[in-house]
Amino acid sequence: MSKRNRTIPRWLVSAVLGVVVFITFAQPGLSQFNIGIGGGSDDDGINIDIFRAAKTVRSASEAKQGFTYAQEHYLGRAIAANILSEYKLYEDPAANRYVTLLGQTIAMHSDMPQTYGGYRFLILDSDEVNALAAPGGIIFITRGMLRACENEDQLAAVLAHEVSHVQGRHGVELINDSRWKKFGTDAVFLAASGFGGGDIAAATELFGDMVKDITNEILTKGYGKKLESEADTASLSILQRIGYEPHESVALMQNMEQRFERGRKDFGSTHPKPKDRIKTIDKALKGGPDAQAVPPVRESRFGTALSAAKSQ
Amino acid sequence: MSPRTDIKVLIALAGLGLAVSVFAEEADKKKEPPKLNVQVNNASVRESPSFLSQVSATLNYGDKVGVLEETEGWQKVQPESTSITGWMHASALTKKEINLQAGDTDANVKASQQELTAGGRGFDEAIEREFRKGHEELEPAYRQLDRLLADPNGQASLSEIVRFMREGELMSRAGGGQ
Repeated sequence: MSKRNRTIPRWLVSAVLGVVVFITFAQPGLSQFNIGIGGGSDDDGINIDIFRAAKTVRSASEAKQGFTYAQEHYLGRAIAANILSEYKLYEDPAANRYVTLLGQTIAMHSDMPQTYGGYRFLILDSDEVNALAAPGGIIFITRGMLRACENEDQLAAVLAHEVSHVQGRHGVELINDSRWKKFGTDAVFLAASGFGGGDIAAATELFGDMVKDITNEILTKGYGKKLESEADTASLSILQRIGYEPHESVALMQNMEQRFERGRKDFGSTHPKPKDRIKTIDKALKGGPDAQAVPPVRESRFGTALSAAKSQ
Repeated sequence: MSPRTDIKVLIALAGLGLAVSVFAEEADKKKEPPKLNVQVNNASVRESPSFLSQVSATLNYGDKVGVLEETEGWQKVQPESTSITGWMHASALTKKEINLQAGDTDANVKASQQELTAGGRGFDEAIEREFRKGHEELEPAYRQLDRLLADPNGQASLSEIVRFMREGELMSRAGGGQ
């Protein structure tokens, strides 16, 4: 390097230049662009540094936040299709209409009254004592579970529990963290490259993995103790908003315990023990109004609509 | 590079940096309050903050609304696509950007939606189509599901729900989800 007499040293030029560049690019919105899959570290969409976009690695929780209701809807459809391929549908019009009216009344009073594709309540022709919620609002109840319900308020408790899984987006919680890491990466590649065939293949594979994660869990293990308790508590609020007798949830748990058969794949094997659930419910109802009898008019319409469905 | 050139470059860059900073700051100041995006299909805009009130408009997935007022669980909105104002349940709205791409059925419905950029593809109909191609064993169940979802008997209108509640001696204590 030749020695020259400088009025400004080269290091100073570099330093000031660095500051200028920093000020320029540190402005919000200038160094970042919104890829529009929503979520991210803030609520205004995922802002990804352009310098990292080519090989984005975001945390699993960031990616999960970016999962939209529309995406959850398609995931729910695939899970519902898996359930329908394993169980036979029970298509008695009277029973289905009654369960639909009751279910839609509950959904309307939930914290998430509208989902991307709307709620649906379907009956499965199975003796298992079970009810299942696919993400996005497709809810199934078995004839075995209908038999375990003694009145409309108990059936309302079952459906409110399932709606609570939907409103809490519990299905999304069952997806393995490794999928979210991949989702973040793939989503960026997809967003950046438009309609590349390779990207769709990768995303479809990931979609299949997510479907598998949720289907396996809800069919064999349920949502886990924490989310099940959360759904039990949330369902009581929904029932109370409508005017259903929340204490009937306790009676329902007792019925389910009686009907539980060891080794059978149903509510008994996928949910916490009824006596533990009763404790959660009792705690939530403590200090509230005393239990009231279910009005005869509800007893009567319940019996009429479900007489065939509840028969053996 | 001579010292004089150094100074010129330095001054020019500093000026540029300053201009960009000021511009960005001004742009920030002028930014309107953030709009919310509709995150469900067929979202109802109602006359009052209750599910028992009349539906005055229905919005599509990805539509934008400005928020005028908030109350527990409900937001009074001004949709971009219509001149009416009304109440929407907060769970139907999100701050997240929702982008629709060309493949979306709704994408060509409205001019405002066409402005949304392509991208953020994620899991959409195209991926479901691919998934179904690879899982032929699920095809009968998917067809059954489509039939069930299209069946109007699987839905209930507001008046049917109100009648169901009245006949069952039930009373909405919250006028909708909170």
